[in-house]
Amino acid sequence: MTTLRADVGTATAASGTAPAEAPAVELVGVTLGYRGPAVLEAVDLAVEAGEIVAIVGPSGSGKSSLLRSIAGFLEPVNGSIRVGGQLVAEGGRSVPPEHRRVGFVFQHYALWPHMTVRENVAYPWKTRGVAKEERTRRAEELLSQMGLEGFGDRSPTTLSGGQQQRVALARGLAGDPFLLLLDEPLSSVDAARRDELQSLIIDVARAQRLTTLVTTHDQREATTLADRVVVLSAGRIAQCATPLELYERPVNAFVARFMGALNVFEVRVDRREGDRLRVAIVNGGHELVTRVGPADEVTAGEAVALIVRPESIRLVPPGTGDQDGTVLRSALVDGRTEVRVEVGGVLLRIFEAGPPRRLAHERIGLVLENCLVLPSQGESTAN
Amino acid sequence: MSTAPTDLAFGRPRAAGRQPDRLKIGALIAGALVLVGYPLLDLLRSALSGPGGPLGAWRAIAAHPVATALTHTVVVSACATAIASGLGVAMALLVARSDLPFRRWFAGAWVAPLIVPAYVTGVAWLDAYTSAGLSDHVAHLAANWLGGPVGVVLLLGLQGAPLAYLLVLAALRSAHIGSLEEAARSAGRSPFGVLVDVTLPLVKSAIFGGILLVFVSSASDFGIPAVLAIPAGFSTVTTLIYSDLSFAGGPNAISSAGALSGLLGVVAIVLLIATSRAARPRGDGGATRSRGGTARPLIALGRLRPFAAVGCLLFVVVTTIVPLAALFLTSVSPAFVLVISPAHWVASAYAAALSGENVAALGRSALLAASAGAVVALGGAFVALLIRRSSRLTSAAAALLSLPFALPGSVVAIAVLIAWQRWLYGTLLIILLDYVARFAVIGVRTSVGTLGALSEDLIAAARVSGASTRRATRDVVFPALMPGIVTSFAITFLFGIHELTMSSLLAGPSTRTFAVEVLAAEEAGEVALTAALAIVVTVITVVVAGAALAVRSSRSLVAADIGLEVPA
Repeated sequence: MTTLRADVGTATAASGTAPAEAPAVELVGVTLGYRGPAVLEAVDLAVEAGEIVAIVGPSGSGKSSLLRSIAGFLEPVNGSIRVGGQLVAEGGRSVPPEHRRVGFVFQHYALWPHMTVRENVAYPWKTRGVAKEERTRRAEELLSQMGLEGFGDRSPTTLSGGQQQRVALARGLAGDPFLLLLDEPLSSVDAARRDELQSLIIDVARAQRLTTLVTTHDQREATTLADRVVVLSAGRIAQCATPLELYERPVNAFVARFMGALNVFEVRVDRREGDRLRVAIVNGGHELVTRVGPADEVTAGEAVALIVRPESIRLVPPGTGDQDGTVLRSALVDGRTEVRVEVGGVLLRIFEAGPPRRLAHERIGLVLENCLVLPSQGESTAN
Repeated sequence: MSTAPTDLAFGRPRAAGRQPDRLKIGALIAGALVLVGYPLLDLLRSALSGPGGPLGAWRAIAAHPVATALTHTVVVSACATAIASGLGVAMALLVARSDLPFRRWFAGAWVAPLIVPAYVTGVAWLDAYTSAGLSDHVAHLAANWLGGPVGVVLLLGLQGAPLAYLLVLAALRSAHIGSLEEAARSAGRSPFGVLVDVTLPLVKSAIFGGILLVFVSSASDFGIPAVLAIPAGFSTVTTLIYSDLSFAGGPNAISSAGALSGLLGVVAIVLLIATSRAARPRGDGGATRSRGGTARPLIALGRLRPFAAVGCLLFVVVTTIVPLAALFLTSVSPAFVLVISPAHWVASAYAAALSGENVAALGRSALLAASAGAVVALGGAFVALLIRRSSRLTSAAAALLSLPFALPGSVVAIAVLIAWQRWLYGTLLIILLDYVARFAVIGVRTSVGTLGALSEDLIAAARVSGASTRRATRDVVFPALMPGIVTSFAITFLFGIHELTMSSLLAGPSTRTFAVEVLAAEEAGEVALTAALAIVVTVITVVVAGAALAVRSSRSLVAADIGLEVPA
């Protein structure tokens, strides 16, 4: 394995060969994994300078590996990776991690227990030959930015999880990285501290216009943090889009489910009358009448995935809607009421404003507005 | 995460870095072969091709004294094992599952005998309980049967008990057993029923492992039979190997000792394989200390609590404190008279113990122990670093290095002797070689354990921070290894400073170690000198152990003890 020798930041500036509009990170056809099934398969991704991108997916989908191959811990067997226009990995050749000028924040902090908090944070400057006085000063600056004044002389093992992750974030920012990579930065932090840390990450990245990639298995975290979200499924990018696009136009049922859709059904189209679409649930055969937009083109007999949005279901007096159902129960969740209604053997979850007012066993009429028709997933017809 | 990315996490070794690696690995394998493989092969060769042809050596085994010694060893070890495992299980249950007062103190007091060399224990018991000893002096009670098979059984049993105790205690303290017991009690089972239905079945493999471990360490012990059995004319395999070599001499002696130790080695290996099989499913081993004293103990002693505490205290006094006190009193008493009053204490034995040849021997022992410690600790770290970039060959070499520690000391010593006596007999180097071969596993296992627990992310974090592989090793990996290096140095030093079995076989006239001087003084009937020498070696041991404890927490040292097994 030969080594590409180039320090990312400096080489770009010096050579000036990179186009002005080059993406901060560019992956072309990146494939990873020597034995067994590929961890990543032909991944293409371009991240603009200053962008915050979240990478989500179920565990084992390859999100961590994607991050690690950008950092240089993993070497793609195929494809190329460019950072700041500079080639850092291509077909088995690779710039070692220490020459990539990347800040990396690990899920379990990975703070060196034999160094003080300050030494941990100053280390990236130390390896790059910054004088002791200077790097100590800059480490202290970062620590106070993280709200950790006075912690410099402590051992990282004496800090709480949230504090340790702040130190890790400070270390990730030290050494003037070109790119900040965060691998599940919030998942080992107490729920109570998560919001603060999340804001801190966004503030820091925005303030420095630092290109940031963050992995998470939590779709809420992803949509809160990121300008764009990459949804990974089994080593491939299922969709890469803004949070709004992901909500409005998920490309398939997997993405919809993963991004939090509650009512997803595999259905067969019966017939369409204007905006009304009559469908049959594939497992069970019960019928639903739904309303879809004019853009959704379907043909009778076609198998599709149907998404019914909880906030787009209108509850009306029995007999006045498209169909009737029975209320199972309703409860207050996050300041609004979630009503569970059974319609012909199908469970629908519905959001209504205000306090719970439906009674169990109450008959009720439903109009399913703004439903979304997506390509069927075929094999995964569960739920 | 699947295994593939973990393998890759540190980046594959770069082309430029490969050549030196291969050299280092080659050196490691060559070293392992020279240290371990060659002596063992040579042992086999000499056992099979003795003067009487291949059969001659084995005929020597069948000869009468060998058969007797073998029978003695098996019977004595079996009886000692019964005592040790019974005591060990009882102690572990009392510490981990009862409301015995001061159980945390007892938990420590019961393992303390482990750091006293076996031959010192033997001498101390003789000074305490035989005629003209402490008990005779105070109460006219003398247990002269101690110098014979019964004494050997008793002391081997008492010495093995802490080993069984530590294994069972570790199993009892695993958190999941605690909750399984609680589940059985909630299900309506009585405490005794829980003990029988849940606790004992779950720690069964630890108990079985303890039994085999104690048997092997009893069978391979030399110190206790040397002190208690040789004068009584009762022979075991280890004492026979010793007397063959020391008194018979000649090439015949070596080959018959070789055959004998080959036999002992085979038995030990078979038993140790059985041990590792038995001890493998030992639960998740997630030891939680809080389980030690749950609010509602399984074994509630109730009104028996004070009696149980007094009984346990008495046990510690009789088995540990009185013998050591008697040893001390003997060392400060004039010849043949035991005096208790400090007014009549004399220091003449210490003057003799710390002068002339004895001081030279102490210096040699310290030099040997320190050099062995340094080689073992640093070499172990080096090996561990190599194994991290694992190849099958390096792990095989590491496995080979761990073999001598599992074998009885006599076997290793004879193997080294046969292999190297032509060039090195009578030098300190042959003893050092032997120590390094036998104790290498301490350094390797400690460092491999440390590195195994070291998160790859810590190294990856250094790499993204701009550190090269070499620099990450220096800044992150090496500091993590440091405490382990200190600990393995200390443990090796401890074993080395009071090592008797191997040095008694390997020492030449001018390279006698301190332990050999103790044995010589004992054989010469120099009671006070023996006691003084024994006290000196014990004090050194305790001081070094204390220092090691100060460096690392008591917990990890005890854990190391469990992991290391058979300190015979």
